[in-house]
Amino acid sequence: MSTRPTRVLTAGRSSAHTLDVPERGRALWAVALMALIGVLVQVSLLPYARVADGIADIVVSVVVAAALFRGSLVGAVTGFASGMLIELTAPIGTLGVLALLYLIVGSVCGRYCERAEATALLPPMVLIVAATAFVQLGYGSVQLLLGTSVFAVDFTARVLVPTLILSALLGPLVLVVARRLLGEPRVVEPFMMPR
Amino acid sequence: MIVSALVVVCLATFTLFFREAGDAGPLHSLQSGVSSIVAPVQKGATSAVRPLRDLWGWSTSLVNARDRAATLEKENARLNAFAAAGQIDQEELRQQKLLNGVGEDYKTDYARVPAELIGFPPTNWYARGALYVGSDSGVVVNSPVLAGVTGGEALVGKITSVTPNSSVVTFITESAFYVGITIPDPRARGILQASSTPGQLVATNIPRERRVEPGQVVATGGFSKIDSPSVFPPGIPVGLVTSVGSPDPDAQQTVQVKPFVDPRSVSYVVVLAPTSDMAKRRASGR
Repeated sequence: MSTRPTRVLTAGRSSAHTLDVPERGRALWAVALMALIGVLVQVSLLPYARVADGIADIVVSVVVAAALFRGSLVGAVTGFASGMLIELTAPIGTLGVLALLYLIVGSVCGRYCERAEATALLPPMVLIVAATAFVQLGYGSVQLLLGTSVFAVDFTARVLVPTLILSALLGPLVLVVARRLLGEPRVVEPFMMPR
Repeated sequence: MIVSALVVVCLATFTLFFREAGDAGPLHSLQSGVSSIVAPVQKGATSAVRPLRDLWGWSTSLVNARDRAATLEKENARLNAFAAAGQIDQEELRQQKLLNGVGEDYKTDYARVPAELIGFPPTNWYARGALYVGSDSGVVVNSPVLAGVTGGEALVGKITSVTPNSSVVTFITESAFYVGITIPDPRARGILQASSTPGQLVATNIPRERRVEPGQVVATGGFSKIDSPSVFPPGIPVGLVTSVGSPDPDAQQTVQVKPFVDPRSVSYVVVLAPTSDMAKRRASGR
């Protein structure tokens, strides 16, 4: 990680004061802890708490939250690490696919970190639902390439819609926790802010 | 720059992963190695969250039961019983009791290795599960995996990856899973694989002159897709015929099959670890 001073955004105002190293390190450790807990919950608990064939994707929420509060770089790295960890520990049959999908989610969502923070829950929730849909459709496309055939109607009704709803229900919880850990001050990590 | 590098790493990783032959290769070995290391943790986590899982399962079964008018009265009685304190534990016990006798018919060739499913994929593509038994217990790649059902046993899948203390079972509902089957009543043979409807199976290559009807039992046939010996011994029940495909000009018919066991609802299974030369030959694919 760079030793350059980190720019801080406070409630949407781009005040350019620096954040001291210990505080910044603590926040990054919080991101890592959130990602680890998210992965643990995802692989150990959520596969059993399904509705129809849908499983909530808590990792998407964590990656989106990390990206929203710490920028594209942290979001992308968090997504990559979370995806790789899932694929290494769960009997999933792929390696690198989820890592890439979560990485893209973190990278794209991190761009919103540079904007004023939303005052309502709706915008980040829309991001979480859109990101979940992206991951589901992306992973589904890879499965199709690997030869798995599934009816689009079945996939949409039994997998995609329940997954989006469950993820949307879990999203606020993750956002609230992330806001408490990372929200004040919001930081865009190096490389992402124009100087 | 860093993000681009990570993208390249991802693309390279999954390209190499799928280019590795079978389950061999450094990336598959890495995945197996990590699985082996985290298996005890997964086992602990599985045990820790089991009450929550059972509670969820009980809740959803309650909702589903209300949708089935025909069995409502019977289900209500059962669910009311569940509602009493401690019934969740009894459900666990019931699942374990179902394993009694599973695999006994094959004990001349296989050792029964009871196992707990400690991991499901955290995605919606239910193709595999992780077991807390491995080569230390005699489990090898291609070992058949069975589960208990009321009144007997049924095929769940086969082992596709093994470490000393853990293994991965690929379920019969996985898209690349093929098994030769027989429908004993009309003595019809065919090939069973996953259907495009999640959780369902479809049997093909069944000669039209064999009259197949809904309700007939489908069992392993002891042969594989290419008419060579199968990794499964013959006679393991797989599922029930639910419908027979519409007539077409072909000389063969297609049959829809509902598996006896929904892999997503199984907590305990029995792995058949080969002990005889014949069983070991089966597992090696020869």
